[in-house]
Amino acid sequence: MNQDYCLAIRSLTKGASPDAGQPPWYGWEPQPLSEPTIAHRFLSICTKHADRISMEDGRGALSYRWLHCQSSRLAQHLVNHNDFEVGTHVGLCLSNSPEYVAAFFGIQLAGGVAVPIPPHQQGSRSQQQIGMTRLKLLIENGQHRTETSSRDTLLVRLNATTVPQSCQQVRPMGRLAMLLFTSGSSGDPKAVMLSHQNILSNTQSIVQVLPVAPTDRSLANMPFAHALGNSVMQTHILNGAGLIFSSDLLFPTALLNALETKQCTSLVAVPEVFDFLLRALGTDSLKSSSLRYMAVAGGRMDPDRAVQLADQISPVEFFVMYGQTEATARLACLPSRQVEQQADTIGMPIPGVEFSIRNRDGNPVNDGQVGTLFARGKNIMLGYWNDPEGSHSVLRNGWLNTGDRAAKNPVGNYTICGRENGLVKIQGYRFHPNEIDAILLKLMPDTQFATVPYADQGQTRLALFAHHPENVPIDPTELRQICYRQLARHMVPQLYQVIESWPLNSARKIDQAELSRRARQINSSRSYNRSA
Amino acid sequence: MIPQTRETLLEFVRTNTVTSNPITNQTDLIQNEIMDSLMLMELVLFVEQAWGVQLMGNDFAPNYFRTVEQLAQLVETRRLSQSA
Repeated sequence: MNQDYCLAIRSLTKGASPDAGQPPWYGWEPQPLSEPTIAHRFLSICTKHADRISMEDGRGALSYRWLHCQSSRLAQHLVNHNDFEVGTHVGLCLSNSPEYVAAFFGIQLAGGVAVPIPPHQQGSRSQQQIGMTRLKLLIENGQHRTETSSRDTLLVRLNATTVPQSCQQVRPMGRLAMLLFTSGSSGDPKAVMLSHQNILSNTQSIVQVLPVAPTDRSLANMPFAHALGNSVMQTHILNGAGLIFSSDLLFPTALLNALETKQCTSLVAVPEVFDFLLRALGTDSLKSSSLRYMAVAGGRMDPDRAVQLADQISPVEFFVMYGQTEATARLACLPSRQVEQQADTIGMPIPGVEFSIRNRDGNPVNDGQVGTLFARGKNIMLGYWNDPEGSHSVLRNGWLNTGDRAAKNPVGNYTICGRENGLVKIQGYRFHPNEIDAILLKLMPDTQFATVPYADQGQTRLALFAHHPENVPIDPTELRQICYRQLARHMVPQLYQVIESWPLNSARKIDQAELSRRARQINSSRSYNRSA
Repeated sequence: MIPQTRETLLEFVRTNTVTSNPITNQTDLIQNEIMDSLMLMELVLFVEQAWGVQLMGNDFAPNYFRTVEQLAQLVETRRLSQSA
């Protein structure tokens, strides 16, 4: 029996001030007994596919029976923990791994609320997320711990061979299944509340547009703490398919090698991954004996590159998907057979999702006209945790304001025409550039900042402009270092420019479009001049 | 050219990361978690902008990006072959 899998459950309540009670607006209700939970689905799949491979990593292949036993063991420890009761928020600070999956479903079996905390981010950011979601317990990797357990930390070895009787039935629990972090329309970080119904409906919608089958072996390269990776994990496990874990996946050659050597059947990733794959392929076609399909999501892929990739990987299918965390994960899909002709669109809403494009008065527009894209379906979030105002600003009568401008074309596909509110998406992470300015302003209150997006070879990049009203010298290199220290990695600007004065638009505000244009110009001027 | 290429790359890596450990030409960028997907992308774009080389195919492998020295060797090889 493999002894290498181990989790650590750390109590976060020591020294914490007594809970002041639930916030005035919680959104928590008991799960209706007539509706299935993630735990119901998980138990059903584990029973039906007990001998099928659920996951595989460098340590070996793990069956659904294994997953069932370990999740149940973890659940039992949670239920017996002094700091746990039904509805307790339990953090998950683990990289993509069998341990993560076992922990996630263990929390579900126990009746807790799973809160993924990205493992490789600044400690201050993790503390902020832990505090704002009132985590009581944090599950981490226990593999290299030397102590057996301590007062605050319980080690749980994942070597169970049976399922405790108490874990063979689903406990009554709340509607809330998990919290996922994202950025709101004004740039401040928010925790999206996802219910059991949200997750189950979205996974079932996805398998109606993607050819997911229990025989699938999907390369799990997108972080599970992020909406897209979370969706890939749940879609496969809750449908009896397999997840493959591998290291060094940031190198496209390693990724291609992993796809082949591990006989992967699918890959779902953000546009940046596929851009790199195209570079690695060059003009060669993809040769794979096992791949059935790939899908891009979590951002806009350049249409020409989507067409190029679809051609180079053929007969492997290529799907284009659109979604956001507030919709659990995915909202629309462009089928593989339409990519060549309709690559500038996001396709149509997936089963169970409706779209509506509205003008500023809230009225539907005609086909072909640009308006704000609204979405409705059982996958739309309950709201933002502890933020009724933010929730009401995007949720109206069951419709989610996606924040995107869109239009519907004559064949019924939707085209995204831009963002309403200046949010950008980089590496699948959505945020507002002025989050960066706000952070820097706290550190350098006498300096003015403006971060703007600019396009570089089909990708969105960021430029930080800085100005001191009294022309005190600013060191761009020092600014860059500050950004690396203070910001999430995907938010660090690539270009730093000190300017003497701000260009202003007709409303006497900083002309962001002009700054973006200057950023593109500066970036271009740095390109190697072959004629020189 | 290699010493200059090496120094330029080293400066780029040092400027675009924050670590308490010194970074040298032989520092394992992957093991020390300096190399992530964004750093990789920025390095590739920097190499292409600074020296006009096109990195393709098997260039995107860990053995070319593990250390600054290895990357400098790759840049010089591509520069010479693409200018010939």
